[in-house]
Formats: sequence, structure tokens, C-alpha cells
Amino acid sequence: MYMSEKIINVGEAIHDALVEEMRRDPSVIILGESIQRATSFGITRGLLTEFGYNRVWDTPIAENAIAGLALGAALTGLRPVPIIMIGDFLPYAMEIICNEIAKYRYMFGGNFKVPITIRVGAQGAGAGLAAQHSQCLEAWFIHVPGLKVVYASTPYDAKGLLKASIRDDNPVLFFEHKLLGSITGTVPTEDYTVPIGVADVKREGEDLTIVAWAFMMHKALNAATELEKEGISVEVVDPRTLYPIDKETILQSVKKTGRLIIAEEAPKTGSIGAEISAMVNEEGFDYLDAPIMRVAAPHTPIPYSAALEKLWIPNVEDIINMAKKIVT
Amino acid sequence: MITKVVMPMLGWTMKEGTIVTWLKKEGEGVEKGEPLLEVETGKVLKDIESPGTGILRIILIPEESTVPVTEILAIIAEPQEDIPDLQNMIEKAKVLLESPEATSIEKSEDRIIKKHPVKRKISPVAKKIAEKNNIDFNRITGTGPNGRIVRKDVFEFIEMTKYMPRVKEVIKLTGIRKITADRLSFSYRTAVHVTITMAMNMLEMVKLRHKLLPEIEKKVQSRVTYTDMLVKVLAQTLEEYPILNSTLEDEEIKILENINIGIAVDTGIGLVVPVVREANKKSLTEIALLTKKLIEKARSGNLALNEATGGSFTITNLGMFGIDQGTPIINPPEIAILGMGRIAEKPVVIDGRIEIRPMMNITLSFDHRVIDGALAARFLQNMKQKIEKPYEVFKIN
Amino acid sequence: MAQENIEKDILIKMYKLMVTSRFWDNNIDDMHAKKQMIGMSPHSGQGQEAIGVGGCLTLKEEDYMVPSHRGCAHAITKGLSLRKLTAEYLGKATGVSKGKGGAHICDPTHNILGVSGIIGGALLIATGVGWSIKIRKTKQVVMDFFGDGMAGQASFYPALNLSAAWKLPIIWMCENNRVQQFTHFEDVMGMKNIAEMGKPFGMPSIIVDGNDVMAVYNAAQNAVNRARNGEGPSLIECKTYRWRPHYEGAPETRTIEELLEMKKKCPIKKLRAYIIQNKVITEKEAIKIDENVMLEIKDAAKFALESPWPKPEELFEDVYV
Repeated sequence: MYMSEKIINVGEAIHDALVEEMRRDPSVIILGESIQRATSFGITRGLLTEFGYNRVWDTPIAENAIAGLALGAALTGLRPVPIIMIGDFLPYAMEIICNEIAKYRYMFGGNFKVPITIRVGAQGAGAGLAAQHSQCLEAWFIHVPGLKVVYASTPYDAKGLLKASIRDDNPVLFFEHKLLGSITGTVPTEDYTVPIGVADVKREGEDLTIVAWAFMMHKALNAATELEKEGISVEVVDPRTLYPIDKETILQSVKKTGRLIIAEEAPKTGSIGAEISAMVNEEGFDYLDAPIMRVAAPHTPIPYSAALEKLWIPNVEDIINMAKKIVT
Repeated sequence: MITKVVMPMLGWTMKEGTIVTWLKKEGEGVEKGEPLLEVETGKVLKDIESPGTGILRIILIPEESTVPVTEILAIIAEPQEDIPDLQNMIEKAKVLLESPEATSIEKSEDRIIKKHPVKRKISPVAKKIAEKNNIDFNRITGTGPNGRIVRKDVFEFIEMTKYMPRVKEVIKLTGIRKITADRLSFSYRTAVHVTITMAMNMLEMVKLRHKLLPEIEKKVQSRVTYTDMLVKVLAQTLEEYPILNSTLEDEEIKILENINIGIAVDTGIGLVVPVVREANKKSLTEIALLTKKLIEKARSGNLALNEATGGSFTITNLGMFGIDQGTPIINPPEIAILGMGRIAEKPVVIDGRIEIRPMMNITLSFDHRVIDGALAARFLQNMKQKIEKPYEVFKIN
Repeated sequence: MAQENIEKDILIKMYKLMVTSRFWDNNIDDMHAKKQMIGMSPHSGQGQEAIGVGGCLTLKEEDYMVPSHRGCAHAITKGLSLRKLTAEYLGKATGVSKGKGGAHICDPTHNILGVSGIIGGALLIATGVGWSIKIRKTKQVVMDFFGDGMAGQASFYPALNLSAAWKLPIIWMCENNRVQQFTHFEDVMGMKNIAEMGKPFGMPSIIVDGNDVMAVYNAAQNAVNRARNGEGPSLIECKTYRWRPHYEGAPETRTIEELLEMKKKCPIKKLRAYIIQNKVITEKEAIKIDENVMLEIKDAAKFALESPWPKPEELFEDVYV
């Protein structure tokens, strides 16, 4: 129980986490494109005023440089929090993130710590931004040993996870979904963290487990409400951390319900859902009462037209239909 | 040298046989004269000896399959010996096995399941629970998608079985017991059984038996049984009612010329039916001699195939176990069976007075598809007359 | 080559370190050929020793150095122990990276960052280190060694740009050996000299004879001073020549004639002649140095060979803190 709480949205939660961590630890610095003046969708507002130019850095549009700066700084005593303004810009930083940041500790025999939290902003479709401003790329990164991947769905988790990520001595990719900005929730006013690698059961149920994160988690909750009316009791598990994923919570839930759907806003092939499905198959096969199913996007780039984008995005209806298919 | 193993013709009526067991595996060596396989035909199981020496190179016809006599079942040859025409033989075997006769209609569903195991869909957790509770999940009906057995189905099954008797011991249905089971269940499922019973006054038969005993027993070296006597009466009655001495197969009623009475014999390990051929033409002495021999052979397991096939009508004696009457099941493809109850002293009304008489209930189960009730009743009446005045039948005044 | 301004003991250090680099390089090639070193073929730095030695001798202990993948002159000069270096190349538990890096050496105790296997990233890491120094206001500098090949990579531009934009204390030390893997510089590069690339960003950009350790040293010293004074980065293009193929055992794409001609410009011979001629040391003393270096290298090789392999559980160590 916390002494006092307030209701804020996910964007505010991230802002608050940054402010609190920068106050707490002077080695925390932030850098990214247009975070001083335009404040990157408002999240970094007020930071320049409070912390000054030496801790709040605008960079050129060069995501590889943003990642490289962060690594150089992390290796020499700072705790940088770079922001990749829009998730789709990540591939430019891929070399530094996957070959340098992820491997620095291991390849150099544990001689270095790499305390970097890469905020990956404004992921996700639904805003009519077409194929290069709408992707959810978290699946690319769980494949890379040395990285941690987190993705919060609520203000409480976002704030607590970001604080935990910044305090972590490992590189963490902290993903943010553009449609989560308006999601509100209760957050304690005092200091707290949400541990990395611990899932959260967002709703308890008996017949079916839905694993979903980020904006998709909210769709899963809506689907669960609808399915309840039809007598299907759904448990919604939000992994919150995608690597290292909380296998135990997922397996325990599947053990209870016997059925699993993984819902995610990305093409199905090579997805996080594929990984979770394989894990449950390997470690929880005997719990299964139905095949594991995935609700995911088609294997196409994300279309611009509202008429098509709507078809691309996995929605509540898709989850409900899939649930009815495997729960009889 | 290449030796072809063929389905042997074990009796003059044998058209096909079923391979029950291969006693050797493919690749195993086999000596000429060594038992090679078990074949079942009619109600008889018979070990078949190897016709040659060599390696059992290929089994063309697997266990549980029924094929016509003279068909090639397997090849015995030298280890590396080339088998000409092998492909053709395999093809032919395939065709045979796919024909409806290969899974003879006599086979129970169990056998068909064994031959073409139906893979039941079951979810992993349901399977695990079933295994943990020692449940054969093939017994469970699945209600999941595509008929998959899901966890709920297993739980419901367990709940249901809680109230069912527990199994103390499991005895596998094999050999004679299995053949009997298969035949009887087939009969019961196909023939439209009607059973009628008539009480018969055995006073004269008892008297007659006592009269005949010393004379016949000298020849037979054994007691003449009421069964022997009834075989004789039955054979005579059948002469008058040929329709009851018939078979029904493939929508054809075949009225048989020979009156071959099968006698159901309890061997201790199951039921066999040795046959008294042309019983209508045999004297009571001959019948008594023959049945004694057949029953002894049946009980010692030495009954030849032709001694247990070719029956046209079956009689079964329930009375020896003190049974008043039972409901015999027809031995297919026959169309009726006669069951004898025990002889018991019972009060009967004769000419307005209550008298004590040795009475026997004679039961006739018949296939209503062939015989109507009235005819069956007349048949029993006819038998009754013969039994109550047996002198004509046994040519004794 | 009148370099009277360089102190005598620095000249002797230069000689010793260049000989160490050369002999060590030779020795590791031998060990590789003898299969005592199992794994990657070394990227020999023979012929280029003057740059790493001349550059790193201008650095203080607390300064950072981002090494290139070719040779170990820079790391040896910055203080990496020959034992830890050799053991690392052999994949032994006593290596500076516990045998997990191989030629990707580092030495945090001497502020030597890691050798990356990817041409390009190091430029941005060095930029980040320079940026960190600026933020932390520590008066350190960072020297980044890179080949002409890295100048063709996309990271080169933002590295130069940001170091200039933010006046970062970085010395960009380019070892232009005229060949990128197997590709000749002039076939793929649009500029004549890499030094030209610093000019648009307003940073001092000079070309030096990379086989003249004293010239390298002097140029580096100026750049280090500027950087330490907060005047920003410098770009030094050291023209040099690679003696060995891209890696040991790889095909050679240059002519024998060219190779023989270029070997005449051996940086060690050049310095040795200079210091003997100028009586910094006698020939006898030089031979003594050579012998001592040889003994040190033999000791390091013995240490590495006798060192244990990493334990199996080490596989899972150090992925995360």
C-alpha cells in the first residue's frame, strides 16, 4: 500500500519517472532528437529547465549516433537514457544496439557495465502513419543476448519499469506505444519500481489465458469482458518484460486454464507470440487443453488508408473469435 | 529355395481362414515342420506347420486378416535369395487386404479397431490426466473442437466411473473364448432372435433310457445321455421340418441336405461345438459312440477341424447344470438352436388329476427372419409328440 | 627528421614499444601457424607500429583509447600486459577478456576500450566517450584509432560532425594503409586524403608520415593539447602501409614489388637508425632492448600456453550484470 496516489496517463508516468531518476542520480542524462524544445510528444517537457543542457541533449537525426553516444557515455561512468523518437527509426541504430551495446559486457569478459535505457517511442499502428511510422519492433530485440526488453501497458507499470530500467546496469530497451498516451491509471506519488522480468496478471480467469502487452493488453481486457458475458472466463497476463520473460507466471496461468492465446500488434511470423508459444510447448505441454493460438497482424507492411489499416491491426473482435474457437 | 506359405484348406467346407498369430517374425529362420502360424476357421484354431526351411523373408498377410484358401501368406527363402514376382505378390496381398472379406464380418469391432487403430484426438493435459488415472482415453468421447478429448471430458469420465464397479482382474479375450465371443455377438446382432419354450413330459424317455441302457452301454462302454437321445429326436424332427435345417447368408436361405447336429460342449476353457454328421441316419448307439468320442476330443483340445465344422443345427444341454431353461444364441449361419433344460419332477395335471412327472423345458431360439413363430411352435409340438411317445423314433415297441 | 624536442627516454620507449609490437605480432602469427592459437587469424599490424606507439605515448593514464582491430601497438603502448594480451588471443581464462573476446581486446584498468569486430561502431563509441568527458568535465581526452576503411562507413560522418559540433576532446587517428580488407583505397574512396574530411567541420586535419613515429607523436601531442584545452577534436591521417595480408593466410591483392618497396620504409628501422645516429642509445643497447623484448614475449607466450581454458560455466557469465 502506498501513502498517496494520483491518476495520470502513461506519457505523464514516463515523464515523472525521468524527472525522478534524474533528480535521484546525476549520472542520468537524456539525449535524442528534438527533446529540448519540442519535448518529444511532451514527455521531456520541463527537463531542460530543471536539468540544463549538460543533461538534456538534442542530437542530430542520426539514430546510430544516438546509440553510439549512449554507449560511449555508459562505458565511462554515465547512465544515459537515449530516446529513439519513433520506433521505426530503430533499424538505423541496430548495429550499435545489437553488435556493440548488447555484446560489450560479454565479449570483453565482464570488464564493462552498460547501463543504458533506450526508450523506443511512439510505436504502433492506428494513427494513419503508414508503414514506416507504425511498427512494433520489440520482437527483433528479444533475439539478441545481452539486451533486456520491456514494454509497459499502464501508467503504474510504465513509471515503475522505467525507473527499474534506468537503475539497471544492463542495456534495456523500453518500448512505448503511441496509443497508450491517453491510458490513465493510478500511480503512487512516492518512489517505487516494477521489477524487470516479472509479469502481472491483469485479470484472473479460469478458461483461457491471453498473454498481451502494451496497447494490445487493453484490447485483451476488453475481449475478456465481452467473453465473460458468454461464459468464458479469461485470464489476462501482461508479461511487461519480454526478455527475460516471466515464464513461471505464464506457465502457472496456462496450468490453470489449459488454453493460451498470445495477442500482439506485429506480423505473426517470428513474433514474440511465436517465442512464448514455443516456450509453453516446451515447458508446459502437459498443461495444454487446446492448441496455442496467436492473434497477430498479417505479413504485410502497415497500410496508410484508414480502411486498410483497420484491417491490419489485430482487434478485440479477433481475440474474441479466436477465444471462441478454442474454448468449447 | 523359395517356399510360398499359403492359406491351407483345413476341411472340405473351408473357404477362408483368419491368421490369428504369426509364430515367427520376418527375418527369423524357420524349419520345415515347425509351427509357423495359427489359423482360425469356423470355431477351430489350428497351428500350421512351415512348408519349407529358410528365412521367413516376408509376411504378406498380417495377423487379424482373413483370406481365401490357397492365397499366399508369406515367403520362405534363403537370406539373400532373389524373390521373383515379389512385387506382384505384394500388390495382390494389398488388394486382398483391402477387400471387404479381409475384415470378415465375423470380426468384432474390437478387432477392426486393432487393425485400423483410430487415433483419437486428445489434448496434452487431458491425456496426462487420463494416464495418471489409468484411463484408456479411447473410451472417452471428446467434446472439444474437432472431437478432441479435452480436460473437461476426462474429468467427467472420472466422475462417471466413480460409480461404476471396480475391476478386480482382467482376463484377455483370446482363443476359443474370443472366437465364441465374436461369433455370438455377431449372431446376436444379426439374427432376429425369438425364443420359445415348451415343457415336455420325459416319463417315456426316462423309461426308454433305462430299458436301452444295458444293451447299448455294453457297446458304447458309456452311458447313453439324454442329449444323445434328443439328438436323435431332433434329427428326425428336422427331416420333417427341413426349413429349420438351413442357413442364412447373404440374403439367401439355403436348406441343407445333411442334418448335422452340433453339440455345444463346455471344455472348461470355452465352448466348442463338435458335429454329429447325418444324425438322422445314425442309430442311437452310433450317436452315443460318436458324441462320446467327440466330447472327449473337444475337452482334451484335440478336435480336428472337420469334426467341428459343417453343422446345420445346434443343440445345447443346459440341464446338466441344473438349469430349467435358458435363451440359447443361434450359432451362425444356422437359423435355430435347441436348448435342453434339466429333468425335474414336477406336478402336472393329467386327465384332471395332479400327477408327478419328470419334466423338461425345451427351448427353441430361432431366427425370425427365416422362421415364423407358428412354424417354430409346430416344430416344438412335433418334438414333444416324439419325446412323449419315443418308441417310433427309437424303433422300439 | 630533426625531432630534438622529443625527450630521450620517450625515444627509447618508442623504440622498445615498436619492437615489442612487431615481435609480438610476429610471435602471435607463429603461434597461429603452429595451431597454438586456435581460432581467428590475427589481423597483423606489422608496418604500422609507429601510429599506435606515437599516438598513445601522448596520452595520460586516465585518457581513453579506442583501439582499431589491426595490431596491438596502441594497446601495448597504453599499458595492456603482454601476458593478458597473449592469453586472450589464445582464448584462455587468464586473458584480459577471460578468453571471450580473442582479438577483441580491451583493458579497463588502462582506459582501453574494446576492439570492435564491426568496422564503424567504434567511431560513435569514441564520440560518446568524448561527449561523456565533456559532460563529466574531467579534462580527459579520447584517442580513436581507425583505418581508412572505417572512413567509408556511415558512422564516420556523424562522428566527425558531433565531435566538431560539441567540441569534443577527441583525437581521430586514422591509419591509412591504403587497403581495406582486399580492396584498394583509390578504387572505392572519393577523397584523395581522409584528412580532407575534417576540414568542413572546422577541425584541424593534418597528414603525417605514419611510418615516422616522431612525426606521429608530435602531431598527436598537438591534438591532445588542443582537446585537453577544450578546443575540440582533431583529425590526423597517418599515411602508412600494411605489411601482411588482411589476416594471416589471406590472399594478397598487392604486388610483390610494391610490398618490397614499402617494406624499405620500415618505421622501426627508421627510428633505430635515428636514435643510434643521434646517440640516444648505442647499437649494443638497442640489441639488448631487442633481446629483452623477445624474452618478455616468450614469457607471455608461455604464460598463455600454460593458462587454463575458461570453465564451462563461464559460457553463461557476463551476459548481464
